[in-house]
Amino acid sequence: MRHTVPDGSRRSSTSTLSSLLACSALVPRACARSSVRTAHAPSLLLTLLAIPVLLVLSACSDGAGADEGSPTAPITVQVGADPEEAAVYRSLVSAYEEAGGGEVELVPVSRDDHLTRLSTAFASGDAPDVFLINYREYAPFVQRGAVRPIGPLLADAGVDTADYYEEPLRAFTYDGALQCMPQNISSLVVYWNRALFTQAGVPAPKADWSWADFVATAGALTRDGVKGVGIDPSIVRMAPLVWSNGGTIVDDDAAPTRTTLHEPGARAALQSVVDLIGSGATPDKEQLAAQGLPEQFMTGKVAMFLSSRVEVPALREQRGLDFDVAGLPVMGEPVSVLHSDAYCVASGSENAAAAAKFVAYAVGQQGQTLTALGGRTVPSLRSVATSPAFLSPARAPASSQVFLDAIPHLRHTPVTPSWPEVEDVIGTQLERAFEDGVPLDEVLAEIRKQADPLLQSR
Amino acid sequence: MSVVVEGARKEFRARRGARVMALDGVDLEAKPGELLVIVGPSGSGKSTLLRVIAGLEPLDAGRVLIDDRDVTGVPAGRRDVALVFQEAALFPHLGVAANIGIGERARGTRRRDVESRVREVARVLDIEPLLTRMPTELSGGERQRVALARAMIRSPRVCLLDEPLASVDTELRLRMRGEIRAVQRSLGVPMVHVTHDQVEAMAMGDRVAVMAQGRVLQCDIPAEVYARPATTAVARTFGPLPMNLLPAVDGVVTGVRPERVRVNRSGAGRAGTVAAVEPAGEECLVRVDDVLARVPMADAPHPGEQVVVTWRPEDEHHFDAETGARR
Amino acid sequence: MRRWPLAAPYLAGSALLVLVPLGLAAALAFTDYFGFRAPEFTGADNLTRLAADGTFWDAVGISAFVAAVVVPLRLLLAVGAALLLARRRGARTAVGRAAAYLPSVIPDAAWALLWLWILNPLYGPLPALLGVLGVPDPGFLTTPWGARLGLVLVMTFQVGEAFVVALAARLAIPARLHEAIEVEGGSPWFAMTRVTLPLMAPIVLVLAVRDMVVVVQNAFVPTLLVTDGGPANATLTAPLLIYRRAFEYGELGYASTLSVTLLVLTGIAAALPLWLAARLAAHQRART
Repeated sequence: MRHTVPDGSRRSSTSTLSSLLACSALVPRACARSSVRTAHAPSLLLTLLAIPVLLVLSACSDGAGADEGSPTAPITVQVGADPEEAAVYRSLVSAYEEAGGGEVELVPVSRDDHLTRLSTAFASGDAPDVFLINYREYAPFVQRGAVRPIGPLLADAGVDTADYYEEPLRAFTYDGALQCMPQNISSLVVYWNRALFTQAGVPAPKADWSWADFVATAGALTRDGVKGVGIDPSIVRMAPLVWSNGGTIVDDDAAPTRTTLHEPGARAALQSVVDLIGSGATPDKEQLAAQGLPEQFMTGKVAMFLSSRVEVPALREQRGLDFDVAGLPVMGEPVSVLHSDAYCVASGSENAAAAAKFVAYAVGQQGQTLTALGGRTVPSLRSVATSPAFLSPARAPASSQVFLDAIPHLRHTPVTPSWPEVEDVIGTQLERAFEDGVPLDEVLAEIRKQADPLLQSR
Repeated sequence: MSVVVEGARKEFRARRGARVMALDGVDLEAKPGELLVIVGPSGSGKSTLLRVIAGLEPLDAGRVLIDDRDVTGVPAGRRDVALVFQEAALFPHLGVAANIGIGERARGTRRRDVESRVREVARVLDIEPLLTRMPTELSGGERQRVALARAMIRSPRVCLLDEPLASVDTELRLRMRGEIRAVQRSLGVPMVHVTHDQVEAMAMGDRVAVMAQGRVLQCDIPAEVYARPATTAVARTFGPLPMNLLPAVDGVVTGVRPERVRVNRSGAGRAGTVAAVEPAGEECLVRVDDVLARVPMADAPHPGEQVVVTWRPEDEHHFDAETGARR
Repeated sequence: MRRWPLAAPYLAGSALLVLVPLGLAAALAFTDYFGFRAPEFTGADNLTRLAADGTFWDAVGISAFVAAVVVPLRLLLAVGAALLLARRRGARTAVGRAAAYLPSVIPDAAWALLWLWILNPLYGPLPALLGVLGVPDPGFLTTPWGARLGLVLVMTFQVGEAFVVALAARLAIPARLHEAIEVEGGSPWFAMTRVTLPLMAPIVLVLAVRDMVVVVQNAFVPTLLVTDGGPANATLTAPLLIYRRAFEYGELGYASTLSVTLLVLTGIAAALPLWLAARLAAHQRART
């Protein structure tokens, strides 16, 4: 199992390692991760044992009722972000404060530790007023009563959801109500290194390129010290390929009861990936264990890799890296997978009014322009998404339009409380197939055996 | 069987770099079947000498011979020497039987053979009932008996004792002296016994070696050492009481044993005032100015009394004032 | 007998900080609790789930394997270093002692990250060294057994505390006991096995019990930071699984069930050395 992160790239421990290795380039990243880890790592059982005590203590402060507090009351906002992203959110917060908002305490947590910190904060009665969370992970929080539906709050703050793209709003609608307000509408794209393409004499990826083009490109790029493409063994990476090939992940996206990766369309898509890996155009097991994919891309060891918009701030910081993005290769239908984070208001927040005011600003014209300029987000507000703040080719990636082109074909993974664990199970098994050469059918059977009961449990 | 030490030198570096001569040219011999007592104050080098013979300390110079064989470079375990430590050095985790037999086991004797040997030695020393106990369940005397048994079991070439009776109470000590002698006789090997107790040295030793500051000052039968101390240092340290040493006249120091000094109310001799009187059973110790005398209780003067001390000329010892050597 | 009030602060402290939370955790073990609303009593549901929770029992198996390999290795290392470094004073001994203690001065997380580098298949010195020596690389981060071996390596060398305790135990043995063996012609092996180790045994035993607990618990940091439970759950130890259950999937109630279970299992495992030692001591006492 590897840690899932809000954006959807599956960070393995190796990314921490590579940060450690490539210290000159990545010191802040490595330090951010390890220091946060250190804070809670050594005494797991003690922490677990302490929870009941905190529970008792917090029970006393649970009585916040209908009072929504002053709209300028001080609030806490937790985001999962690497250092480069955290800088973007910091500028958002200071702009909000300058624009007459209340005081905001920003708590940036490394992406690996974001969920953990959130769970413990809730358990200890010290939850942030606002937190940013991926749609693949918010379901347990909603189902367990941690989230206050944001719809009415935003309506009071003057936000009209009609100005926003629909797909993320749908993903964050649970039990018929908009639970959290999406900040972005990212999707899976192909990052590619222009210098390596030029060196190999390979033409830039075209829109709607086919899987065969993609495989051929990866092969042509693979040479001494360079691999063509890197793909994490995770369901969020595989999902668009499966869909594109006419397959499905689960039987019913709205109320899944079992996985369907073993069915022909899905299986064939996965087999294509296994074949691509078999061709030697992807980093081998040791290379993957030695360094994370984004770091391999930054240092020119892979020419392409699949991820969402989240990589942009860090890639921009890498000197001498000339990169762009391209749409996903198409197996059958053009399709991509939604990557979206939303601001949620904690149900226990005593300052719901202030929280809503902040969220309204963050997803509003100014807020989204700021985060778009920082490179972090594909704005969920249509007017900003189509503005130069996002599309300007002056800053990499030049082809940001790719993200907007994907919007009509976006689909999202099921929203169900046990999904994070299902993703871990599928990820662990796909890793066996992709890296250890375990036969695909064996792995698919194991996924059904382990994941289906999880889907049925809740 | 004999032990010979020749020209032994051993220097220790004490803290802060100061050097201490623990052995400063020691020559010594313990003859077959002899009990040689080494006596001296603490720091005189007597324990170092014992450890040198045992092989626990290497020599800077000189050599050690056991049965005429040079064992100077031979490790302790191959010198065939038994050593009884102060406070017995029993192994607290082993029972008495195992403690007695551990040497045999260490040398690789089979357990069954060791068991019978242990029982045999225990019978000789009359400690059979102790065999099943643990060391913590023993009295001080019993512990030393077990230690003696451990020494006896191997029939060593030499038996070394390092103040074995130091922590044993007075009554038991008298009895143990006899037992140690008995053991030594039954083994028939030279025994070197280190002690700081003059009385014990006189009582037990066939011969006595008096040590001070890393040197052997005198080595002779106890009666001779008592009667004719070789130096002022021996005279001061050996014997039940230190010898009176009078201020030098013409480069000669005159000494006389307190036992030979008589205290008279009048008559010829050195006149003086009684400074102190210490009763000691039938007798008492009287200090007249700088002269100590041992007199019968009945003749005891009172402190402050004017008296005269005398002795027979043949009881006088004469030493060179400069070297301290007997003249 | 009237001294018990002196223990009161300690007892109060341990009651408040250990027993009460433990009791609450034990109570939580029978609930569904996610940290957001009050726990919901679910009777024996969690126990039923526990019995059928193959992943957890696999993780317990991995923890047991790691403890079974690491605890003896750690004791060997701590006691071995104590025996080697007990003898002389002087610069070499001082340096040796410092070196033996040093790994324990490094915080666990830093130590783990250091090993992450040491074991790195492409850039790490250990695989490189093995390559130079012609020893096949077990794949410290890439194969299941290689990763377990890597975990063992990470956890074996932090024995500073145990080393110091063992050294104190070694130095507490009077020198004359060893001299007695030397004079009797006993080999160094005989002295070590019949005198030194038996006399150190009570302390080593305490160390073993403590190590059992430490290793099971501490397996968490390296598994989280070095192997992240992988590859394919090969190093998913019980504490890491509980951590994920509690903080990644948010199931605090069931995680309490798991951690109380682990606590009981660790207790049983820690009693093992005690039982072993009792048998040994009886054996020792009886024989010559």
